[in-house]
Amino acid sequence: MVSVAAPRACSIHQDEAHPAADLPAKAEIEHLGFHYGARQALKDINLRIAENRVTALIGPSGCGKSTLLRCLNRMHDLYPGNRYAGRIILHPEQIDLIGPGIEPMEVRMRISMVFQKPNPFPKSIYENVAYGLRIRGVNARSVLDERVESTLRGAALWDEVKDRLHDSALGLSGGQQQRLCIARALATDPEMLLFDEPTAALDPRATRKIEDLIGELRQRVTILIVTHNMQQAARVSDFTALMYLGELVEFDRTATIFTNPSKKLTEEYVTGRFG
Amino acid sequence: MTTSTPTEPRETHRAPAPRPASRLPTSPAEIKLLIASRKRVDRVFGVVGMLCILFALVTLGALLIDLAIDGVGRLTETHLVKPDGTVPGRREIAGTFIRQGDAFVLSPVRVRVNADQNLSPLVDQRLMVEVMPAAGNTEVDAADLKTFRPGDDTATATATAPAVVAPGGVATELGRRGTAGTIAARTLGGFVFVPDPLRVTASPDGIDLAAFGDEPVAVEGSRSATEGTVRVDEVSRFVPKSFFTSMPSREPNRAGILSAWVGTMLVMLVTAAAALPLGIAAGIYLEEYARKNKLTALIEINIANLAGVPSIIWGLMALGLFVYLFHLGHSVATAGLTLGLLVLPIVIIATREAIRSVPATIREASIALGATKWQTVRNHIIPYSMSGILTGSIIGLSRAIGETAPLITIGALTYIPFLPPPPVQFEPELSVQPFAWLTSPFTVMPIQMFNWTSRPDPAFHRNAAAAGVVLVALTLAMNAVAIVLRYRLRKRIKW
Repeated sequence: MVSVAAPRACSIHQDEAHPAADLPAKAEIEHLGFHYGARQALKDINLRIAENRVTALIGPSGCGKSTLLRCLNRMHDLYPGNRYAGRIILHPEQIDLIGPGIEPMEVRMRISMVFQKPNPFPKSIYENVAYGLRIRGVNARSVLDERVESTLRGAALWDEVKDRLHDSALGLSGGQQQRLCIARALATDPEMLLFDEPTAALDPRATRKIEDLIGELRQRVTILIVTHNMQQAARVSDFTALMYLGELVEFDRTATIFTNPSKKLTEEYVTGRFG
Repeated sequence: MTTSTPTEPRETHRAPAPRPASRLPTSPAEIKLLIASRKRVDRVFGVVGMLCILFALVTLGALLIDLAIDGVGRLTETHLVKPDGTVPGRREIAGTFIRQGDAFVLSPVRVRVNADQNLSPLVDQRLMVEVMPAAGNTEVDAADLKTFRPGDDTATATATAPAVVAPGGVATELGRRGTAGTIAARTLGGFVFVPDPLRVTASPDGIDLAAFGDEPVAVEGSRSATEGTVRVDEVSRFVPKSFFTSMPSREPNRAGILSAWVGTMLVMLVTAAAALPLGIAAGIYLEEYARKNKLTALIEINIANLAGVPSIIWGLMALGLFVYLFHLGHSVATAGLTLGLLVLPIVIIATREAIRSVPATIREASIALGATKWQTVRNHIIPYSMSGILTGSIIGLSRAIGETAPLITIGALTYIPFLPPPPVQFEPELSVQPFAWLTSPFTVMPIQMFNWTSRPDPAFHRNAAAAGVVLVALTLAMNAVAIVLRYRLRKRIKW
């Protein structure tokens, strides 16, 4: 379902077809700008996020990838002095996520986020996963039980915690906590999942498990992942966008970005000459 | 570290020449000297710090020990009080009287003291029944002392010395110390049953017995016979009162803090009810909901200032507001509201600090799942900050316990020998007055102490010290509760 806003004047791709044009889009970011108070952090971002695919945002520190990610679920609204510009169109309803009439809470009910440092609530594992459902008014024990189990299975955590569901979530290892946070985000069937450097704080084994999980999830959920680890982007994602100093440098299929990038900056970054 | 040239002799026994302050030390000896002097400064600082702590501890210890020496003894003393119409006890005085000429001789006097079921478990119950010889009467057997322990039903003491009653109005009071045949019972801190003194009056017609207070008691048998038996059913008993269960009184040994500590408890109840809900809600609003602009910054400054306003100014404000404007009078309600306002800034600040200590990551996690602000606050912020909030509240309350100036200003009286009316009263008839205690006059412990210290009789100062010990113990207990609560609530939460 190509959206109404056709791929136009991205300053990056002039005449070649927009990457991911053949796939239905979940979200389209159009001329997105963002200011932290007086400082401009994002300049004219145009991005098309394909449905049920993994899109990675890479770039050196401070390039604005986390900022961009947080625009999608309106996390910047929590702090005063932030301004959005442009549009983020969510399909299929074609609503502008940063439009004036949209309640941030509604956005967050449809788009969930997993943070860099695992942050489970200091409650039981069960309550962590059930929280998203409880705040939506689902309190029936049987429904919660079933949802918690299916979500934990979907996050590849069920076998490890099924006999200690009511123990504190803080007793889990780092990798387990992060999978719990993913389960928590999945419990409410979000349309899109945002990952903000999810494995930055984890060891390689845990990282591997989470990357496998992301690979499974992409069939059901659209995923946008920010990572400072290029190799992770290469392993996990279908599309990759390189950002630098608040601008989108290049956006293409992952294979193309890493083997045959169009921009010199991209090539320098992926070969490790800077960053 | 550069080494000196090999030709320099090692002069470790002589101090190196002083180096000018503009040059960094270069030689090993200079560096060593520099390190030693810096370490010395560290050590001196450590010693000074230790001395300060020691000084504080010694001062604090001296204060507490001084208070305790004066007051602790008083806490365990009891005195006997004739109650007014409480549950009657029973005792029998049995004796025989023989007329000898014009005189009557009552002997032996046997007193049976019944134990009541509700002996206090907190005190050492020992009843000693002594028999005191009469002045001038040498025919007294050794005093028969009986120790009465819990579990004993009765203790019997027999006086073998006869009580001689001469005609013509000479009265001999049984039960009074120092008279032949009398029984004096004393407690060593327990409930005691003491026979009421009986006054024996002799007349040509016979003997009359009157209980303490001049009420006549029944006499079995003929009064005018030559001999007979006397049996009396007594209808009252003495109740021992301790420092905690006595009302203030003109006599220092009988004065206690009952009205004072009950008043303190009631006032604290009202203070907590006024300050805690309001303060916690205000703290949550200011921290979570209010926009951060100049107005809220001004409010924050004001609240911090209010926490330091002298308490007597709160009293003045309360006088004008609660006593005169709202017509609440000099009552428990006024005191509670005054102290509640005094404590309010402390509670607000403690709440804000506790909320600030909840990590932003938890908040973001909840928000990112689509929770509203209130859902986040209710499900996460409040539970996780509750330990800090409670700790701050208890500290605020323990400060309010000791505040005297505002209560004096609103007119708390210093001599209150009664308790505020309880919500439900069963006698003399059933009456339900749930809020009468709020409008009743009251006193609190600091004011009672103030009242006692301003009396010239040094025995009252002892009472004041004892009350001080109780106050300090109460404060320590409240702080201990705060610490335990904070520990237990924090144990469940690890970031």
